[in-house]
Amino acid sequence: MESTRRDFLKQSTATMLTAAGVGAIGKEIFAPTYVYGARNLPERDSGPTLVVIYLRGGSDPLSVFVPFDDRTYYQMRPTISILPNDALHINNRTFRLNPAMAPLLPMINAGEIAPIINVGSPNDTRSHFDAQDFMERAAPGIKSISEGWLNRYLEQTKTQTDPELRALAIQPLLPRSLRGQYPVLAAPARKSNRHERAMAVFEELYGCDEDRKMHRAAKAAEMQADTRRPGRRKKSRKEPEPPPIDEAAQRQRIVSAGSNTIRRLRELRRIIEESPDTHVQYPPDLGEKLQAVAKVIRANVGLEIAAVDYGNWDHHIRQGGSGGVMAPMLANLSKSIAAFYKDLGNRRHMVCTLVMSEFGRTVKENGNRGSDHGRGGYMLVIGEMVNGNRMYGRWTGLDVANLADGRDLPVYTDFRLVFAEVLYKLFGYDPTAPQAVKYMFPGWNNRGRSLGLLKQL
Amino acid sequence: MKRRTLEPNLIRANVAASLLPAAFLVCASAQTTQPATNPPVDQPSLLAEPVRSDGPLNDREMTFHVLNRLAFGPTPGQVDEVMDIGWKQWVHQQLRPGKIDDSEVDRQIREKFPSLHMSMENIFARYRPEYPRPHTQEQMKHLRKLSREVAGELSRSVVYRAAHSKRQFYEVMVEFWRNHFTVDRRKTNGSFLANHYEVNVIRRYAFGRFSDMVLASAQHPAMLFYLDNWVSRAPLSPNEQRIVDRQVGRENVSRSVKALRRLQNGLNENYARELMELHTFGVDNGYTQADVTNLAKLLTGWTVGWSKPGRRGTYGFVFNADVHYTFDKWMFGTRLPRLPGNLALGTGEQVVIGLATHKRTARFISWKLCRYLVNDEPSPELVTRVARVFRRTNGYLPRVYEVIVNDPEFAARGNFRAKFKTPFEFVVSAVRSSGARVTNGGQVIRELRAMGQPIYDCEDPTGYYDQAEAWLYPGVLVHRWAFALRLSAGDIPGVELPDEPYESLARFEAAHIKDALIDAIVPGGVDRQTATVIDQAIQDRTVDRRFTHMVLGLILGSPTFQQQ
Repeated sequence: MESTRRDFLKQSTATMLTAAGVGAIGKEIFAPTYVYGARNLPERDSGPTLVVIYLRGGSDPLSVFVPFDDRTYYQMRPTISILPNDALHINNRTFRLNPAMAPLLPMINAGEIAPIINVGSPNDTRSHFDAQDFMERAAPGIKSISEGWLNRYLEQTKTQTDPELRALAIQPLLPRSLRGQYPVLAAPARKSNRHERAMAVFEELYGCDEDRKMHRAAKAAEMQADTRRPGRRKKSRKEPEPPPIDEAAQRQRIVSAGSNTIRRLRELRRIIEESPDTHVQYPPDLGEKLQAVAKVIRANVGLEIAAVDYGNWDHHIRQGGSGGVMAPMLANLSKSIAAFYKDLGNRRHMVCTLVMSEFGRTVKENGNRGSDHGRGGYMLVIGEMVNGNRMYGRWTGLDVANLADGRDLPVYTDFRLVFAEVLYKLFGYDPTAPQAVKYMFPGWNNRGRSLGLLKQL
Repeated sequence: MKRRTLEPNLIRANVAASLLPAAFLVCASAQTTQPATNPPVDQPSLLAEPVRSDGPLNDREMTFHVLNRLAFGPTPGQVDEVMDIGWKQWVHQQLRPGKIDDSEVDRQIREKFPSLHMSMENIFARYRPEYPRPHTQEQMKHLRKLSREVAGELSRSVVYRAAHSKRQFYEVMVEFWRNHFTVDRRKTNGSFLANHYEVNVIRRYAFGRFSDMVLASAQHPAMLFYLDNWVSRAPLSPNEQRIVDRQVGRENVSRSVKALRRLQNGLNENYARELMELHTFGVDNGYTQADVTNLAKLLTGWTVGWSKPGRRGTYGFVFNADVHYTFDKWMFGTRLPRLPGNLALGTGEQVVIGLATHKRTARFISWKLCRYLVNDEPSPELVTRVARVFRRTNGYLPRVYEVIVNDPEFAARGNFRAKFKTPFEFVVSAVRSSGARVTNGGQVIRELRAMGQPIYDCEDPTGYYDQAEAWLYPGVLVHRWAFALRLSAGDIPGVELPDEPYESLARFEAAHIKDALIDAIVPGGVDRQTATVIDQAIQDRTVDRRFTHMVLGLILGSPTFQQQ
């Protein structure tokens, strides 16, 4: 045994040396390049905002868009289907809408909602864990990418004058799509007295009185810290070594992170508190989060990306059709979005909302009046800038032969197609450009294709 | 806690500092250069300014450094205890954890967390009863409750051991390997497997041979599920493929065809890739996609099962020769012998061991260990020195740790407090520094989740990073500050702050209390800003117990305490 191993090592080393330096697929991370540097900076304060609502758990597309004309649908789902007469007309020959989503009907009729069906990941995993990972990092099948797609976009296009709240997550922890090098604030919608107190106590310790100066220094440090990121190990080895971080340098970073925290959180709280009451009624949970986002948008502080999560869409049991567990959640989602757009006032035309979930669910209902993890799902692109009044994506019916693995809606549209178009049309950043695509969507080749979801802003 | 149960009356009778049980006071009087009776509160005291010399660390700093890096921070008085025997002697003991008596902690673990040392069969029998049809709402609820219970026991045991074990360096290294070979409990059966994984892979080999740990993790159900290797199999034979193709589009197919359909995905490279990229060679370190695919082929048939059908017998690693890739296999351009049936398992094992003892692995693991123990960016020379020992000892980890700790670079001034504590390190060191006792880690675990580092729930196969970049984003420090304030006020359920030394300390003057606490918790002193702020904060305050707690909270939340 021992000798075999030695032999193996001896032989393998020689061949490996020749192979050295050849990276695995998708490992290359490019230095931030300002591909589309022509972002209109002066207008940034009232520029477009992208709001990403993530429905965690795998939201069922067939309970949102009802293929009311399809007998198979009613055969496969004896207890969780929606009857043709219950479903709402949405000017489409194939689909009607879940009645719980009535609050969105005015927007749909105004052509402000573009639904995409049979959209999802090319990777066929049915694990929440992997599917969410792949989607939020826009890197299906590649586990070594650890930064979210929204964060990669922010990082690529950052400038010295970025506003404090350029991106924001209204929840205690950052969603994966916003995690990465670019510092993004995550904070719950509601004020926490404990945190307020903690900030008051530690405000001075973290040097917040020297606000401006610190801010500059922190920004400069952030820009400089770029070259130190772990993903760039290889590259930095060739460059002259920066001095190792010692006690004082580390403390400086901690202090600036602390003052950053306080400054941004304070700003968020101030905006939320000072925001005039618009008398728009929001439902609880998601509504509360979106209300906070709306306040920040109305404050014109340059918010580009906001993310909120809405959990518990994994309806294995008692999913229901127009009743059951899912309908009230859809109602809440719809009411929240409708209220959000009503609340936005004169900023309404600049706000695009993306609703997504990691995968769809089985076409056939399971033994517990629910559905199991599937493949193709749906997305909603919402806003005045969308080309509504139609469904996007390819629909091939519910015939078993056309289903993925004979059980799930197939994936015809790669979610990256949607992501790319949204970034391009909203922010003028083209993630499919040759210099950008390896960093934004590694392993994807899609130059030039677009669904035509959005009008150019 | 026995140490501290001196009669309160006795303390009251002897106010003299020398008789106080609190180690805080002892070290304060030993170190403070200014008399406690003369507090110039308007100026930062001498202690407040860290000794900024370029020379080597003095004995006290070095002891503190060792306790920061090789332990989860000092407990009250521990710096002096370790200085008494000499830090080198303490390190010597810690490198031989088996010889340290930790029976009290072991007993607590056995009592409080019985599932931790159960066999896999017992865990399943106890926490995963099989219902005839386990999908009614009540049964699902019951299963979820059991699953939470077994998961909670593991998480709480991790916190408990890190905070109170006397084998501190062992716990520090267990935390390292827990992240290196991370598994996520939310994936298939995770909560039922992680307890066994922690004990039989991570804890068992943390002071053993690296290649043993790699092989053990490769063959543990937790890892096989987590990185999908259990479904990886050779492509269907032409005959099998024909059967599946013939049934495409039909609704009622036989069970065997359904089984084939599930398997026709064939090779799953997930584990093979991470084995090279994360566990052994390191990313982009001299292997190609072809090597990953070849390795995945070698590992086909490494799956999970019961030794007898119908959930009886033992549960665990199974080599399924039927789905093993039987064609010629290559690895790094070397053709491997084609062995029949179960013998093919041996080839795979040899390749895994070959990877784990390879010189590129030696360098990667050495670099990662240096990063963990010395500096976020250790010098290449240090890594070379350590990797040499790794190779020479064939990856015997205690020797590798030893050479890192004894290296002059470990003790260099530039590495003193140069690392940012991860949330886990922060929380545990805060508990230890305050002298608190964890009676129920549940709340601590929730706090860790809020800080983004839930135990055994890491979303990435990389495990949690130990570099500052991963944790220094806006919005996170506020959780640490809130934790510091709550801990120091005794406000965290399940974490008991002792009366002593805070009660006795409250008899002294404000400046003395401050100096004593700073010297006990951060013996190198705090930065000037912190010192000034604390000095301002303690002005005109009545000195009582709440006052000492306030000072404690300020220190625990200060920038200096976030460093190690």
